[in-house]
Amino acid sequence: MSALGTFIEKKIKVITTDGRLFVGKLEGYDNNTNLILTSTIERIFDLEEETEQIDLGLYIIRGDSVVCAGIFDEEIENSIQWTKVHGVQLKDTKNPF
Amino acid sequence: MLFFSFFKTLVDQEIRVELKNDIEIKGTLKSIDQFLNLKLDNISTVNDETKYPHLIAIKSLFIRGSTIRYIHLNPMLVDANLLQDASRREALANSGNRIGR
Amino acid sequence: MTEKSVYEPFSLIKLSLDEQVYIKLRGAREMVGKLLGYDSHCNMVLSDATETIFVVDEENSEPKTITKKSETIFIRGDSVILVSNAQD
Repeated sequence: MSALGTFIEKKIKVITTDGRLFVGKLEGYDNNTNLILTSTIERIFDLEEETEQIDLGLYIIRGDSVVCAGIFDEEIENSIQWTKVHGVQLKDTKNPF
Repeated sequence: MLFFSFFKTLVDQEIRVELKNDIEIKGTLKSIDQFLNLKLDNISTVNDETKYPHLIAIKSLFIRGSTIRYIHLNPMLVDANLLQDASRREALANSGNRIGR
Repeated sequence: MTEKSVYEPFSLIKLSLDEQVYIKLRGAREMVGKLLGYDSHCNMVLSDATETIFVVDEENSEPKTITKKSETIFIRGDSVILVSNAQD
């Protein structure tokens, strides 16, 4: 899984299977996509309300909860006023029917 | 191993991935592994951009294979006959492993 | 050692290579298309595929379908419920 190797020590955004978004620095990973993130925050979007951000610190995300993880342009990221951004709640990945 | 080899031939091509949470992402395939995890560069979301700010500013995206529903491909990149033959050979190889159980 | 002549389920799918297949998928979805490739996980590649999604309209709560076409599509096997040969 060399794809994640190139993300080590970088800040990444992670989307989880329950539709949450996390931002943190990738310290480690393994073949099951388990992730270790430091300085983690969770960002919660809403269509009407202001964006909420929660500080979490050191986080381990279990691999089977990971949808995707990406490195991003920190300049663009820092220039955005996240409280003003609105978005829909992401769906989960379970399709029961 | 069949589709792992198949997707290796598509590295550097543009593909569109539809995930199980209904997000659709277009990008250039840069890497694939045996779990069919993908890494895409040059990402853009196909759905309404204003609804999905989650992926703003992302340069390179790792997608866990298990969360993929579909991958849309350019038909010119797919050799139908090659794929069909490979499926037959793969099926034969798999049945060979079961004889004598 | 005798050759196995009993057909396993996957050998029925092998018979459908290059033919039209009908696939029922999780999430109230169906797919019809020509089968180009498959593996033992039921991962598949179809050409000239039509997807039908069965959904309930948000406003009037009536069932409706959404269809989408795709020239070439890879389907991940863990969404597959059943595979059959399609006549149309």
